[in-house]
Amino acid sequence: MIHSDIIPIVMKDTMVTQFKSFLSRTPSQKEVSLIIAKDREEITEFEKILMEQGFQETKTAIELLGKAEDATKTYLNLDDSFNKEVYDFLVQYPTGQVGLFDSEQMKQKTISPVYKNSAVVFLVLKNTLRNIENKGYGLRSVVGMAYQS
Amino acid sequence: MERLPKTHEKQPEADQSQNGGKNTENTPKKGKSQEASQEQVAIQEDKTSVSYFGVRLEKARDENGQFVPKKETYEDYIDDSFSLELQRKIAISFAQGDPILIEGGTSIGKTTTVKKMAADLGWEVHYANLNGATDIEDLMGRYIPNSHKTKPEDPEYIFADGKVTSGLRKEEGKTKIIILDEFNAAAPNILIRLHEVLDALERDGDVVLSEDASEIVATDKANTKIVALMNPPGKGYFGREPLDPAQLRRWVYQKEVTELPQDTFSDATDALFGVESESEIRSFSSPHYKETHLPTEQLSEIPGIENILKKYKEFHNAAKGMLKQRQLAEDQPQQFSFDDRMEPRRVRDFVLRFYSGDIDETFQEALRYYYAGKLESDGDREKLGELIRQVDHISETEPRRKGTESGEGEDGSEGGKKEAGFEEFEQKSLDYIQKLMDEGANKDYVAEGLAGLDSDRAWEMRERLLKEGADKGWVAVGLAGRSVTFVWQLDTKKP
Repeated sequence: MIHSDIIPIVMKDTMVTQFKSFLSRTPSQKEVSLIIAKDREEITEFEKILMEQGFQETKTAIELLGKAEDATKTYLNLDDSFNKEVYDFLVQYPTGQVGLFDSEQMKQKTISPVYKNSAVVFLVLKNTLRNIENKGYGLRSVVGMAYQS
Repeated sequence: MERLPKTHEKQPEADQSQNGGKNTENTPKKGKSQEASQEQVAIQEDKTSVSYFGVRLEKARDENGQFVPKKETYEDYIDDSFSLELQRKIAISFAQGDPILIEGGTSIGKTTTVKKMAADLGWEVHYANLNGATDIEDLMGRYIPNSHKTKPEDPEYIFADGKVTSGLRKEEGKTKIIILDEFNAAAPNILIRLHEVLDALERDGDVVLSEDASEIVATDKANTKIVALMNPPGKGYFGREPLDPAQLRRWVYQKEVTELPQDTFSDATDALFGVESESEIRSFSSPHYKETHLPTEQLSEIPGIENILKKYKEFHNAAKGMLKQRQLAEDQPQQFSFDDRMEPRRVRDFVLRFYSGDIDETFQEALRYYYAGKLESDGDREKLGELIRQVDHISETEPRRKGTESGEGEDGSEGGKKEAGFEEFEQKSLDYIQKLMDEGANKDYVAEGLAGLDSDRAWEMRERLLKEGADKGWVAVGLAGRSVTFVWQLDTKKP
């Protein structure tokens, strides 16, 4: 008989392997990838693994612009305060050119993403994703690869 | 079977300068296309221009800058028949200086296609996504503290352009495209402001940017192109409301598919995997344009222009009526109209630019572009296509159908002498049509089958068909060789 507290550990290992496998596929994609977490705990787990795998956290869409020009792996944690700039980045990223207004420098910034070896991943809680989509931002129609445990 | 044209060809001299003298072909996705003849090349590029099916667009003299999409980004762009058609339509609107509004599903590649064309041409892209945008200043600009102020006379505040105004500014050697994405997700106040911009652009006028009119941008439609993109209202696209049809009149409205056509999807997928496709070859049928830039005063000298104009006016009214009565576009949530001023002007400009000796072909192509292009269903396009085919330069007094050509009057029934045997033929035809009707034949097709029949009995039959619900459009089609406006009188009296 298997002891009950062993099961979550076995599942977790499998999940970690699957998650790492997913992350290994995200570089060179021409679309943003999406990771959907069940709860806050899972977000924390995912973030830890993302950083282990060389993904740098990005806080804003304007920061993403800078990263998208280099061969870097980056992730952005989406919350309920999801703003328009992030959506603008998401929809433009696959089209070969991304333009956003930098409200700090008060000027338009436009870049051509370098897809080779770079990865942009959005991390979002399932409920948050629903809230964002209810506002009219159809994330799932625009992202490329998606992962949920 | 028509062979697919070569999709994209660079002139050798252009390659010497722009491609390091390397491969002069840019046709990696189509094996068979390489065999196509020079005349069939869909996209041709030289040092100073790119032609999309013969619609030539000048490259920008200044092709550098952060707003010009990089060509290499679009190396794997697939020129399948659908995207080529889309490029052709966009190229026409750019050439004509018309703002174009493209409605279609997310997966058809609207934005990417426009940006790819900008990369071809070295044009700048100024992109604004209107979904969730509520701040007009983001689009039109705002005053900000002047961080470069060094002298007392320097202004405290300077004007910082928004996404739209940066696209409107004239700059030497540059051509700019303003993309207004998710247009029908915009707040009403934003749409109103954007329509002011369109109105200014139409007359190459000024756009006032600040409330005190201290900041003004002069527009120039030769160097600023506007493309609005939107998903179909309803049909699973959250928050996409139909636009007020009155707002659409400013645009050349192009209705595209909600989903990629199966053939295109299949062909594009094959191309991605390096597999050649036979169906692509079958599906291709775009005309090539030859630009002529006819002077306006020569329009009236085109043989048959009066006849074709008369028929065009009748066509316009008929198409407008069918649209109004929802005999066309019945299932399209986005309502629109055929504008009495804008459509004729657009058709005129199209003819001026592309007339190359065949007025029927040029006129009919313009009507397919400006009228049928707004319709979603194949059936609707075919229905309007039937009417479009009747818009030709042949006088109504000229014979069309065997059996009526020997008459001296307008046709055999109005003073002319009918060819022997025609009356007998007509009676036989009507007897047979009556039999088919009794057997429940499709009324629309029966109406079409009455073409050329002119006896009282034939007219009674038309009236009966209309009463029994036959489509007016098909009755009009069945009046081949006659004025299509006759059909609008049929409700009340026989012409």
